[in-house]
Amino acid sequence: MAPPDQAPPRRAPLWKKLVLVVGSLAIALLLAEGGTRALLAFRGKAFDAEATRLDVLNTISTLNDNVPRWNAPREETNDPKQAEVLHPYFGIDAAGYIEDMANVVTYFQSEAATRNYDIAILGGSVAAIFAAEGAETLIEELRKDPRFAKSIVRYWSLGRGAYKQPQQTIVLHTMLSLGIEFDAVLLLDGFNEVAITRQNATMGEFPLYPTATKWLARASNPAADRELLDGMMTLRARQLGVTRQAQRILDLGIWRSALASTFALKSLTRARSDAMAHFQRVSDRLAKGTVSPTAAGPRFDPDLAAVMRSSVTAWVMGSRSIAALCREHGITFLHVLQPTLHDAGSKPLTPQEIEKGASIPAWEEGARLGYPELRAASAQLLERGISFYDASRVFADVEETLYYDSCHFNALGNQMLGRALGKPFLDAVTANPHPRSDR
Amino acid sequence: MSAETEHTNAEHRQTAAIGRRGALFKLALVLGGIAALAFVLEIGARIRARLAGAPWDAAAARRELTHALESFAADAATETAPGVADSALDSKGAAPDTAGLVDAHQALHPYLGFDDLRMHERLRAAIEASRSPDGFDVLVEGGTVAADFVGAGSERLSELLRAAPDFPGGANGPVRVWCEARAEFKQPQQANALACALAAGLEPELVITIDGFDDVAIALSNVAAGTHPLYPSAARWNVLAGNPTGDVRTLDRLIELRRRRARVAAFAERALARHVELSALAGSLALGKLHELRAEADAALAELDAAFKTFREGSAERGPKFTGSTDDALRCAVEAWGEGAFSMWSLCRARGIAYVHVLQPTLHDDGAKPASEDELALAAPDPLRLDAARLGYPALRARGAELALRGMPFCDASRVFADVRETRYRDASRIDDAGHRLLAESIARRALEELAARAK
Repeated sequence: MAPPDQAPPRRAPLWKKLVLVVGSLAIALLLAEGGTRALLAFRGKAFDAEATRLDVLNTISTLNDNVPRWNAPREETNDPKQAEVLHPYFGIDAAGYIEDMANVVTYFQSEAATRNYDIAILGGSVAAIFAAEGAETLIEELRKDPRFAKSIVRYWSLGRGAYKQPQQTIVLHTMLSLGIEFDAVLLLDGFNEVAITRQNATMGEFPLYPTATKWLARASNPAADRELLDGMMTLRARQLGVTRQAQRILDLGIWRSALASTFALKSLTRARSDAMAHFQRVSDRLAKGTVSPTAAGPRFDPDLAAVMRSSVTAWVMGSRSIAALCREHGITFLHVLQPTLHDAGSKPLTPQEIEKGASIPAWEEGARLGYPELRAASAQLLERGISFYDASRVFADVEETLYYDSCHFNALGNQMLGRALGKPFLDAVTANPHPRSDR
Repeated sequence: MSAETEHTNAEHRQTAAIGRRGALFKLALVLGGIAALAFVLEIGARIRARLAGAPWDAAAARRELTHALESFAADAATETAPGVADSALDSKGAAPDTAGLVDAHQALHPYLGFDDLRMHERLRAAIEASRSPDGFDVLVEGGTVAADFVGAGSERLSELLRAAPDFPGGANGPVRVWCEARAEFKQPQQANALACALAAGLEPELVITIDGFDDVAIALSNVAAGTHPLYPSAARWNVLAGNPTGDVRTLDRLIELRRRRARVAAFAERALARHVELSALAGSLALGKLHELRAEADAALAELDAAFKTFREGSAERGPKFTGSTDDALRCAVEAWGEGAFSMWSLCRARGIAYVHVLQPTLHDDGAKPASEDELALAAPDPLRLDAARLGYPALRARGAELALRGMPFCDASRVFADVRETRYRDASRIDDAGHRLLAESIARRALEELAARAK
């Protein structure tokens, strides 16, 4: 029993206890904050609040752009004009070409178009490169003829990478529908027709459709692929979660504290990693290629001999269609079978060409097996009075290195081709009974 | 323990028992009251429904809840892809819900913009048949009216062709009419479709193109939608070519839509599990809530549609920038229509195929037809479509006449109903079966002239 005269121990008032607890906590936090900063400084990574804030902001800004785009986003290319987009009639086209079309229409509505001699160069990438590197040589050849001696001759590069029939036919028809009438059309093609159709078939795409590597990626509908769509939506939900978390760090000023931001950033990083893992899953799914049956086109006989027959038929039919369109519009037409490296006998190959010419098997076999068939089928064009020039042997005696891959050749090769095309072009002009310039 | 204490305890127990009984009674009273109130309310709800002319129908309520559950719990692909064709699901037999922008058979086509997937198989059959030595194959190109014509006018066309003494197909030989027309096709789609069909090996004897209205009407609506007039119908192309999942803003709306749809499905599931339809009161409250949730989901869908339609504003997919006036757009459309016709004729001529280009009739083209009461009662079309008919048709007729002078076989059928007083139109451009049979007569006459001229 306590002695009666001893006063009971005085309890500290509650407010004092609270102050003590809060004070201790604040001191502990300050110590922890200081300790954290000291530790970070000791490790050579001194805390920088502003850098932390920027880190959080960066997390938000980069994360929201990370939904994989099915259509190649234009931002991913250096030149937005080169970004390929869906085109309703060509399958795929470069954004720049589509945007520039308005200027082309304006030119062809002008007086200059009626004075000048305008040549359209149609085909795939070889035609596009020829326009850039060989067309001037062709024009020089044309100027040697009195009919062109004083003319302003212009060429229009309408070749697009991987284009093949019926794309060239449709390009020309679309130009005509826009009121664009050329004086002459030079069609330079052949390789894509036999190489890409074969590749398309092996990828399960209708051979006459545009190149599968570009078309399927853009035309397949991710919304029709439930797994993919679910993946994309989960990814987006995760991204929104990370964004909200990051926004809280900014709004509450957590970024100002080394201690709090260390924990917050760790949590944010975990959430971001989780989102990125989903991103990777969606990317993998996209990369696998969800070949939509709707995008892959009609059913076809996958037998490669049948595929080759259909591609050669499409090449002949395309040429006939372009010839028919040109004939009715008084446009001079010359169809040229382009040279290509894997066509046996087309050129004595240099070691560099052999090394750089290695390509995917479908392309090599397409050229090796298809070129003899194209040459044979060209007889049908000549029989119908279509101006056709077989340039597949134009480098047959050239010892220098011209090819820098399996189908493209350098400026020297393009100039050689330009010179070789001079006479056939002039012959086609002569064969045109009602040239536009006479109308 | 004393007797007194025992007595006291017994009293307490008795009091407690009475208290418990009292509480139970009160509880029973409250519950009974609630039940009675619910019963009265239920009866009231049923009377009210009956007085309102719609007696409570438990089966109908259950059907609505079941339908909501089935529709809103549908898989993500159909639920979240407004306007995006989903043939994969359709092929499995599920009913796709594409929000009405394009139907489930529509898909991107590399050369036609969009296509109906069922056309692929039809073309295969046409190619096989056209290569057989017997029979006379007619290919019909164009838009909606041309497609309708194959169904309703081709029999009359075949009869009239066979009846002609010099018909190259003979009086008894089969005349096969193949449809390569697609709803909302306009030039250059018809020309491209023909080029593709010929490239694929089709060998028809006669090609008939029936078009005109969509060529001018869609060109104008395209411009209004920020799309080049030469491009395919923006209502279809922009939906198919735009990628709803490629843009985070759209994807966010997609997530919101999915969340709201899931709420509808979950609510319907709970309501069904509790059999709320057995009560008019609970059922009508549940249906009210269901409608509210559905409205929220519909609003989310509308937001998604709007976002989807606008997020590609100004993008290359909409074609070259077009800043011209309505007149410029019409000029562009008429030029493309004429060029398409001329090119199709060129493609056919080079292959020895007879060709006839038909300018279809349309209701709002002045002088095209004395409108019947039923036709007058048709809802007034969009002003752009009125402009297309009233301003575009005179230009199409003039261009067609120019092409005819250049030798193209042209059949101006825009006045085929000029003296017909009966109702022939089902809307501003689509006609009934009798109208198609009448149209077939004009077309057959022109086709036979062309076939006779070629025979000479």
